[in-house]
Amino acid sequence: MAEIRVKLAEMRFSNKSEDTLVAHGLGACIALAIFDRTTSLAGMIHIVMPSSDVQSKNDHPVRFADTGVPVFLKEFMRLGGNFAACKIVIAGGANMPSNSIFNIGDQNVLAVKKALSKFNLSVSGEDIGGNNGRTLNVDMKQGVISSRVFGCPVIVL
Amino acid sequence: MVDKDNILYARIVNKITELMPLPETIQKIVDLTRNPDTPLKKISDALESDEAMATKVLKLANSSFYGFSKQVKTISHAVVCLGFNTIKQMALTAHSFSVLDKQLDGYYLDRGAMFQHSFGTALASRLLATKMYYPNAEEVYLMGLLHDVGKVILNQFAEQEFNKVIEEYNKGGLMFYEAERKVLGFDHGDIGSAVCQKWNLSDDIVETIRCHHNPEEASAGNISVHMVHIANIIVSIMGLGIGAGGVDQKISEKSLSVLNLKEEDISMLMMSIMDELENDETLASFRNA
Repeated sequence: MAEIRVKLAEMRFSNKSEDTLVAHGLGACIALAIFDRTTSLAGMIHIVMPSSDVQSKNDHPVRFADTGVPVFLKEFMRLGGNFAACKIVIAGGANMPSNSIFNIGDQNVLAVKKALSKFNLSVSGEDIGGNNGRTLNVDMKQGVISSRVFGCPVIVL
Repeated sequence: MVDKDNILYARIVNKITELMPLPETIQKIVDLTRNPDTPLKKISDALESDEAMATKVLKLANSSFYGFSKQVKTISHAVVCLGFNTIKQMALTAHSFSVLDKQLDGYYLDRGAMFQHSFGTALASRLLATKMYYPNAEEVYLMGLLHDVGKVILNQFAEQEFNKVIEEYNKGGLMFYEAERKVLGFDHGDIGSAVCQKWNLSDDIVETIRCHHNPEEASAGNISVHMVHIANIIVSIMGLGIGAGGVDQKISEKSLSVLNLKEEDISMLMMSIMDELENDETLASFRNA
């Protein structure tokens, strides 16, 4: 079984049943996973920030929810993915308590959902918020997407 | 401050030299550079006597951060170009990479995670230092790199006590370092600080490592503690090597105010950290060294 790690500001796809897609150590970041049951195509993107307004030119679209989600979904379609038969989940979006400057987690969640809605898509499962780190895992063989907070049991999404 | 009668603390501090020794070459360089009148040649000689270390320092000297147009080929050239303080930081940085490349089960940090968190915090600390025109950005980089070094010792030496820390933290209501303080009477910052003291590092480093979760406890003139405090938090938010405790940390308003940081600065800093992570060649070269 090959573990494909989806690191900060990366997106990865696979249609091999022996693969798992994993985003480790999500803090305020969001991992968005999509799995098409009919073609067994899965994708995952690891988004860091909500808005690309902070960059002067669009040279790192995958870092941001507003530019990353469209790039990710278009690539999913290009690879043969079908939205009608797919499961979409998100995990991450943790927040620091006590300071609004650092509530990037909440902003990320809202921005990802907004970007999905532009494609008439919404999430069917989520494990978000709080202040713990998480891992999101797509098991291609079982077709199971699960999330785990460190030291806690796995949640199937 | 740790209670002077804390037996566990005393036991751990007594073991530091054995658990985390500083290589002889580096200790010699640290001690030599404490005296500003030390001739540069003495530093070069000390470094050249350790070939592996000399190679690592040359790698750092030739990294893009210093921007030399010509390759720095010899240690004596590096010492002249960079001055002995920078050389000392480089030798310590090179050594720290090996110290931090560990798996810490107690903190839910796998080997890559501890390393990534320390390296990310070092980069972010240096970015803040540069933004503030701080005169010794390399020292702040080293502070960022070493800020959690106490976790390595605690994970190794206080395994049994650590289960109680996890239990206490899981009850809720305390941040992870507060749970350490409640159960052990000290936190990983105190142990990291003791490591730096044993290594004869500067008072600023010793204090910054101790107070990185509570910068208000540091002396008024210490600016670096605020840089490392904020850097640690931003890097945790980004999920770079976060383990037990997650992003559950208290941000010091004083640090935000001292560094004059606004929301847009935090976003820009996150961007710069990602740029540096993509471009920095130090990480790869040291992990493979």
